[in-house]
Amino acid sequence: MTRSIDYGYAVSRLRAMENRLLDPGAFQRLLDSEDLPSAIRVLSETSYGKWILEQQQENQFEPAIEAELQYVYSEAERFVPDPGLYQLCRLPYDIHNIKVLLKGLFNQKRGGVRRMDLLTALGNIPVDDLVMAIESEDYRLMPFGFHRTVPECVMLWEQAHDILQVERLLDEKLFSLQLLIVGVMPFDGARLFVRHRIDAENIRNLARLKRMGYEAAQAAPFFHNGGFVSLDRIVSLINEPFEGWERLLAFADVSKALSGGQEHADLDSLLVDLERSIDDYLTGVLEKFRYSSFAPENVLYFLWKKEIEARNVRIILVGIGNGADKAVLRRLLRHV
Amino acid sequence: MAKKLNVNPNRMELSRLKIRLKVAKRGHKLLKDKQDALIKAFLQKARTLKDLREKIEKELEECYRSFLLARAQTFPAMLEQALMITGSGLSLKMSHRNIMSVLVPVFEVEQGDSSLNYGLGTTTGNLDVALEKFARLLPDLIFLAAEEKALRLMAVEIEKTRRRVNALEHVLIPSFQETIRYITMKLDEQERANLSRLMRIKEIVRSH
Repeated sequence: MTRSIDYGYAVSRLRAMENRLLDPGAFQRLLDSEDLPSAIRVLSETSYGKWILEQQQENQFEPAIEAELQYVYSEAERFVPDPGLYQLCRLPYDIHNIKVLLKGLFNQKRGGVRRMDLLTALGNIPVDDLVMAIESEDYRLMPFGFHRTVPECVMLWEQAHDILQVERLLDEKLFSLQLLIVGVMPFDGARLFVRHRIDAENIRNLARLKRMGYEAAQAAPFFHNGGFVSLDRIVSLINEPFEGWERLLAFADVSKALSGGQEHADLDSLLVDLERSIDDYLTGVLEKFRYSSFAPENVLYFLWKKEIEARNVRIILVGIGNGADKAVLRRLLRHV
Repeated sequence: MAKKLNVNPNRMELSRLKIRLKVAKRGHKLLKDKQDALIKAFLQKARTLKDLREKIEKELEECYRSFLLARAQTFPAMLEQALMITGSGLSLKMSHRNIMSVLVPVFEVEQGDSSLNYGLGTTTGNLDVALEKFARLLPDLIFLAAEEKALRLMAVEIEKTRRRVNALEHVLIPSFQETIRYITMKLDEQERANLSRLMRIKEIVRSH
């Protein structure tokens, strides 16, 4: 079992790697760019430059963002004593890869096409292994309990042909796995982060489902267990107006993410701000660990910040490439 | 000058040509009326469609703006993955409507339940907003497509009718008239020749 003190070296390495993170000035320069080529030129002066140079097509930035994330994850793997910490951050990509392969499989049975181009190397499980396991229906060696989840998904699809059930099962698996991973680690901060993340995800889902007009019974399967707020409380909120959610959840920390909700005229505009404030709230959960030189949570904090940075870069580049209003882009940017 | 037809100059041909001229003139009038009515309907429809198109383009811009927000905040592969399988259906029934002998398509759209078909874990709320807006706009888009197709078909029909009217007005009717004039002249000439021949014969008979 790794002790917190073993993280002295890892945290030092992370502090050194923080130089790779874009500072507010770089974001400002990106935002001030007139068009996509000039924004990419600005980006190429940062840590993303190495990957941008490798792009064969002009104005391509997505592979560079992916490559930078891949580099950061593989670097973290080298010096972080507990693999669980970075596995936690890479799990959503595993789930994404599994969804791509399963949907491809289902599509193929209906005469459609598979989309191998959508697979990403950012996950924990090597893409080739995942493809081999799912294509050959030999799930035995799949890690993280996917050897049970994937056949269950296939069975669900064959019974009902309802992709939403499969999606829900995999989303549920993502959060239960994250809880399982932090459960075996002796770091309270990591556990705290995952539980806050589940709360935040539940609130986000709640807002989306309420906007879509779901009733409590229909919405219940979309929420995840393991957060600080009980599922019953979350489900009951669907019948309440959004303005009251902050007051009703005042006992929980996640209510901070709901502040300012009264300023919105409708749920459409609210969603945009809610997603940003949820990300900022989660950054805040981890931020308090940054001043401890031995806190393993620094790993999570750094990787989370990198993910948020990648999201911000994508927001700016996609927005500038499509001529979006800069005020709108600024509103979408997460705090890094 | 109109080209005369290559026909035998006899009375039978003359009367046949006179009938054809009468029919051509009547056809010309009818086609001219049809052309005028079509142009009137076309212009009216075009004006209505311009407004509709502008309205739909505005709404479409709004849809794409929402989709852009979703795209900007999501890993692109995840966005595409979310939309790989769709469960909602749309049935389209097609029939035809006759507008002055132009068969224009009429679409009846029946939109199925636009239920959620992707997980909420790897997508953003903007995607819900964008897809909902697209789904709402779809019947209007199909209606616009049908109306624009009708407009295009009407334009083709107007063009065809205009050609026919012009062909009748500038080619067929003048050539009939020219041919009739030619046959009449020919017949008159024949009659005059016949008359002078008879007079000459009479003169010869009288001198003997």
